[in-house]
Amino acid sequence: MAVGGVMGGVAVGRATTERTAVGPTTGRTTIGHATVDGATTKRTILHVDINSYFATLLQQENPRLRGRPIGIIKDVGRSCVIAASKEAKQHGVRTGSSLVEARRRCPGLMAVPASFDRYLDATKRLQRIFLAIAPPPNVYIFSLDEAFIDITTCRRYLYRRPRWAAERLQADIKVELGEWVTCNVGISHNRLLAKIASEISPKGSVAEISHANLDAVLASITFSDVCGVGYRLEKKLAKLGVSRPYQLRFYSVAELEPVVGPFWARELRRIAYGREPHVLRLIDRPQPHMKSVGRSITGYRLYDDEAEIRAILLNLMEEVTAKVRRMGLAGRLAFIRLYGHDDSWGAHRTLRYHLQRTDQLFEVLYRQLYQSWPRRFQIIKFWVGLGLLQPVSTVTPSLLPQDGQRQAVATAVDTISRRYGLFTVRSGALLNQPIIRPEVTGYLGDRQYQLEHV
Amino acid sequence: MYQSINEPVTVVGVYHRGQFTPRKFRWQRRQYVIDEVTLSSDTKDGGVRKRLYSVTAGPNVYRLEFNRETEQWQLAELWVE
Repeated sequence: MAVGGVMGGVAVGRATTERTAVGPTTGRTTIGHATVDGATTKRTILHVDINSYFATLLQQENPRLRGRPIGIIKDVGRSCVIAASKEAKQHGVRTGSSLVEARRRCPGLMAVPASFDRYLDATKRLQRIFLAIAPPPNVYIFSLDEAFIDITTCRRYLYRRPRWAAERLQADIKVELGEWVTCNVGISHNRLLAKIASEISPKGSVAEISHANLDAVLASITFSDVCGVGYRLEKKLAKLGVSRPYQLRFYSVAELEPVVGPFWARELRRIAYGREPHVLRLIDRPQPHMKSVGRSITGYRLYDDEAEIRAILLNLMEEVTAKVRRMGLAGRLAFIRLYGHDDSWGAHRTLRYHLQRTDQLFEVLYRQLYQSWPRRFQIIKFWVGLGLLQPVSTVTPSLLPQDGQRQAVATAVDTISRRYGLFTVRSGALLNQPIIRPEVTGYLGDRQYQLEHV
Repeated sequence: MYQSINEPVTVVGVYHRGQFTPRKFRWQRRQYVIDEVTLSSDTKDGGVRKRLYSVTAGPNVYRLEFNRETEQWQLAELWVE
């Protein structure tokens, strides 16, 4: 009760928040400041990372799996480990390992299929915990198992020490999801450093990067701990003899450009001083709706049967357009990409009109683009999508009567789907095929859809 | 590995502070006393909302499913090694 009263007193709506960049040219880290009722508080970000999320939830629900090495696979018969328990990680099993390789490293490894619906539900429950710590828009769900929480405006009244908020989070998560579920919490003055802090801290702990330890941390971590820097970029930097972010301070943009290009040369210089890279700054950019919707699936085997390929593409397109319609959007960039073992082919078309129905997307992607594919390889992975999305209310509707009729059918199907589930009514071409159902991804690329529309 | 069962069960539980906790269930004329609800999740397939309870009863782990539309229980899965 007392906490509720204090929370009311914060009146976040009245507080003025200003984020000020300090000393960008002096090589000092950018520091954010917020003004709360006239008092200046240093910007404080928490990064919460649930340890080995998929495997931990599985161990939470099944005590017989606790303490045992587990590899999560997408489904029975799949051969790629999409997540590993901490016990499996200790044996060197990594996300993306093949099951054969994982079992070679860890002979006792148990392969268990994922339960994506349950992971998404757990993420929604986590979101509620985060929102109890800091009100919107201070919570950003970064992926299924990670979130940034800006507690700057709450600090003066509730969490004079950010560690209090972090410890409350850890306790609340255990109450909500179970004793086995642990998380790391990183604390710092921006998202990059908060995420690094949670990455490098021991499982289930709280770590803070302040100005006092910033340089030491940047000199001791490798790029695998840095958000946005991938394996290929790490390899390019290794050629320069650079393996730690701090070393980048000794290279100018002009020296980095020939190796990593103009974009990354500037980005890496920011990272060298602990400033947020582009991928994290994008979070601040308001995104009223999703810009594109895509769906991919990796098959159990290689495909070259035309009827099967057609059905799989149609199935994926049904899901894409259903999502687009659910969000009240329409798009005019249609794209397709097909992958073989060591080859790929892709095509896209930017249309003059917006579309949101499967028959329209199928016409462009299958009847036009796919038919131009020279069929050089068998397909293992399919990817289709629709981009340049706009709210349908801002799009000029088609005046053709046949379009009106088809739209009415799509609307009727959507009504049935909302009540009984997607694919309850489906094309005859999918009747004799196993249906590929919607699923969430760990990265939660469609977070806006999953968290606001499902 | 979880084995699909999908058979109807009868469940007895308690409501406390607006939350239901299953205590025991009857499956194939046998009663199982639930030791612990280890995880519960709300899922949705279209408009059909379901609540999944993972429970332990003795040495076994069960997944009980409550269909919130039809208000029916079923034993969805059983952990076997």
